[in-house]
Amino acid sequence: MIDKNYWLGYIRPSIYQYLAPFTTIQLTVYLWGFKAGCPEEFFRRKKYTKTEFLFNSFAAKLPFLKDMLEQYTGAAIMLLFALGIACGMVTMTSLLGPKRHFADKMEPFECGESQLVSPHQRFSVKFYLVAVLFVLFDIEAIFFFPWAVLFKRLGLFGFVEMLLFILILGVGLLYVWKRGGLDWE
Amino acid sequence: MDWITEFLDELWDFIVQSLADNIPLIVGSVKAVVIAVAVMSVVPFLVWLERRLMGRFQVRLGPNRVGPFGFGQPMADTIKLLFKESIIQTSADKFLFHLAPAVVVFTAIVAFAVIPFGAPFEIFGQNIELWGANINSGILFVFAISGMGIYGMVIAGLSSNNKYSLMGGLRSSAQMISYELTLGLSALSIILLTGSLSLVDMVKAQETVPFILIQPLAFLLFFIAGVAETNRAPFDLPEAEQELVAGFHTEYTGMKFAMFFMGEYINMVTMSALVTLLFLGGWNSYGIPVWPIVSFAAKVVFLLCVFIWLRSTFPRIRYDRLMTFGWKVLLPLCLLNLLITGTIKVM
Repeated sequence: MIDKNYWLGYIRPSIYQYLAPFTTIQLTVYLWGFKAGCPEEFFRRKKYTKTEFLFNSFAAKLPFLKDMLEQYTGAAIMLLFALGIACGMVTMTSLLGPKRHFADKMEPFECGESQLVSPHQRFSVKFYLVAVLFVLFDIEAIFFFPWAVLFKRLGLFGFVEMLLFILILGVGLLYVWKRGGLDWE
Repeated sequence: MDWITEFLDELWDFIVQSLADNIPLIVGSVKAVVIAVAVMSVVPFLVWLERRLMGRFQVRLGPNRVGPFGFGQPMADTIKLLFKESIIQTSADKFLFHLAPAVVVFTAIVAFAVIPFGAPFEIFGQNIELWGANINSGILFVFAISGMGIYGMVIAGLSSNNKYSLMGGLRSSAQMISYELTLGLSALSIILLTGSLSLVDMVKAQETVPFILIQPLAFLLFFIAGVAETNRAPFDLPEAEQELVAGFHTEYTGMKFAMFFMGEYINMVTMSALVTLLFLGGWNSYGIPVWPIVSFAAKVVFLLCVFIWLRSTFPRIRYDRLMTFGWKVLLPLCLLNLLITGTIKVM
């Protein structure tokens, strides 16, 4: 049988740990953008609360920020709509289908056998290595984006600087390659 | 009775005023809903197209019984799947098990929000732009949101408590992050040429000549990485039917099973649209007198057919070769392409 305690105690908290702050921050930022994206007249008919007043004056002082938040209004509406669709579909399929449960049917799929060992065992360390390499190279790749946008303005100086950067990146890749970090056996 | 008419007048004034004040918001909401519904209704059409074309590639007919040319088949399948039992096996984590397909569909729809699909036009004195949101860092938004789609597959693999699912989840995470690197770096040469992250600006920069002629290598790299990102054959290792019995969605039934495919097909459309915008000139038609939106749609449908064509032509590649190809061939080529583009641009 599956060791359920192991599963609950070990794997699950780690997933929540990584997901929860990420989604909370994301949602807060989007909702904030949705509110600020409305024209100022939206608040005209009612008395400003202190927070709204502070926020509006803040937004008025930073037209750049307000412009950015206005851009995200469409995306925020789409986000809410998509959230509704996704949750609605999951709920609907749980409600609409028949429910005929019996013990054998509720076991994990194992080609007709009952499950012999827990699926949560050790797996190849290569996956971990790929994840670490991805984090390294992706952070380095992110530095390219502002450089590419400002390429014309930076001119030869920017090009030479980035040449050195690509060289360092290339040496890193070569090192990982020679050490066998990219081989799968 | 005076106060009633006064009150009604005031109410009417209030409604008219607040509607007039918020026209951009209202137009934005309607546009967002229309785009989301349109994207979702493309999925049945795409499923039909794939099954018909696959049939022809394999010298058979494909579905042809429900409706004209079998067009009703995906609709019938959807309705059938909706009324199927949704089984959650007892050792699975219930919340995460429900969350995974929702994440996949959610990210797929949201990523489409910033895709522009036609030149803006004027109607009723309002300038209607054919995009959900014109974010000045549009391409980063698409990468960020579609990158979050990996979570759906990994959560599905972990929460199922099944070794095939876990293997599928692991494979998909390793594959998608490896090819995301190539995707970002090959798009970089286009950003270098246009000097902007906005997808609308990129289309405007291609009014005379599409970037595929200037950047053929970047196009190839981007398209290969795009196929791998959407988990399509020949890179469909996360859901390899023969070895992993469908990988991360082995345990899913009914509509939740279909939601993974919905996500995959919407991602296919987004990826085709992105390739069209970056390399094929978006809605520019280069002298052929068609509407901008028709030109855009024709290019996207052509790329979708290429996706299906690839699936019926190539066998699935081995996992070690997949990873080696991504890291040892595509990544150095990306850096080389960037170097060449920069050198030519600076001279």
